[in-house]
Amino acid sequence: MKILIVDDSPDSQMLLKSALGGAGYTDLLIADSSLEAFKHLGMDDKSRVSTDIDLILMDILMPDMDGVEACRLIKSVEYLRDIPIIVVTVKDEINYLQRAFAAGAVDYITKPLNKMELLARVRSALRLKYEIDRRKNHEQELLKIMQQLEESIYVLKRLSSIDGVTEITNRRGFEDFLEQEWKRAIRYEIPLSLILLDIDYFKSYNDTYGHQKGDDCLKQVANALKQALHRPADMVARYGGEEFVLVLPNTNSQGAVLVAERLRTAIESLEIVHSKSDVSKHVTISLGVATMMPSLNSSHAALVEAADQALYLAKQEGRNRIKMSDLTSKNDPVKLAL
Amino acid sequence: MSILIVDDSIDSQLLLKSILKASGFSDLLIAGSSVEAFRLRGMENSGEPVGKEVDLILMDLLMPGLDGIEACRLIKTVEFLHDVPIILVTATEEVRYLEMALEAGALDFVSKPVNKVELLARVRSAIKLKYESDRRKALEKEMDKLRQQIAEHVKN
Repeated sequence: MKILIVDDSPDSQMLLKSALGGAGYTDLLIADSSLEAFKHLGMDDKSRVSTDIDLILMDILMPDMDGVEACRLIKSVEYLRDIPIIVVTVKDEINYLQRAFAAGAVDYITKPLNKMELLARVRSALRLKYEIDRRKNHEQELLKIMQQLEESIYVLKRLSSIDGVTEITNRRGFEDFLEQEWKRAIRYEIPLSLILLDIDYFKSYNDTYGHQKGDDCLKQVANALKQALHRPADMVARYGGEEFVLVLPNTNSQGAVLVAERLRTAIESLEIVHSKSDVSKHVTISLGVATMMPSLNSSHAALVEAADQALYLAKQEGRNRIKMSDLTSKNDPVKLAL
Repeated sequence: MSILIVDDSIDSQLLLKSILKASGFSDLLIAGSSVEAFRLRGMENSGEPVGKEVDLILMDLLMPGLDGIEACRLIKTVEFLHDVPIILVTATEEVRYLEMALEAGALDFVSKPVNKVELLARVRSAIKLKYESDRRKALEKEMDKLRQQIAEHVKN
């Protein structure tokens, strides 16, 4: 623990030094004046942010600048604020003390110096400094721990919203995302489109090639869907089984159908052989597109429901095709075959 | 901030009480002896603390029965009192005892006859220390809680 002694009298300096030294406080700095003390504290250096001084013993009566004023100046510096200052005063200067306390002194010692008093006061102030240092360390550590916790929660949240097989967003992640985009669309009065799609004859694909190949197929499809999306705001998720879902914020029905067609051709051009498909030699998908202008009177369940119906129609009408429900107009689902 | 005064002299009790009250410390507990002080805080059962928490103890150094030195030593062995600062109230001729009391765990002292400026300087500085150690301990608790949370997250 480092102690700074500020006193203009060489006799006092000597006395303090020997009393403190005798008690094991050997890391002492001596200043003859307030200004010299400021130098020790680095107050002349504007870029300083710390010091290793733990306690200041400050004589009150000094020429030029007195101890009270020096105390006030030291306490006005951020990195020096927590260093305890004990003022040293002769008995009849007691009226100075109120000013010294107001300036931030923690306690005082009277001259002529009494060794026992000095050591008790120094020990007590150093304990205070030690507690302050520990408290500040803890505060920083706590901040670090909280950051860690936030990061791990973020990672876990991400993990819990990712599908294990395809490594794209899962049903839960999709529902969170849809809800959020639904609210955003209401706020900004922009359309929201959704594409629900299904791999054609996937059950027979699995039966023919086995579950391992089935999973590989799901992975390839998921990857191709992801690649086919060009806007970072769009999201693709595994809806369950061989069903996938895409959310396209701020996209009208025309835009959504264009995306759907891009997806359909993307899967087709993967050319994953499927001998048991009735519509193609390769794996294909059927897609249902739905678009809505979200409002407080409607729900996103209706959007999913509309896309589901459109998908059902696409299946009914022969698969490997797109159907859409445009709920932005009052029309019934438009049957649009591409 | 609650202050426990331990002094066998009624006059001393009254003086300390009036200075502290006049300076805004209204939450004062008075004990006429160390043993009574221990009873106030449940130390005699050597079990759970009773009564409300004390932030500072002002203790007469020389008392009949259990003196201030022994009392300091005992208080420092009790976990829930360990960090409560003890300021001794002492007449100047008791220097030898004072040294022993500081070794036994007292934080600092005020000399008799008690003077207002000195008492308040000591009390405020001790309360500052108590405040810092309370905050430090609260932070430690919070950190432990967070660490546990993290460990649980990792497990799941």
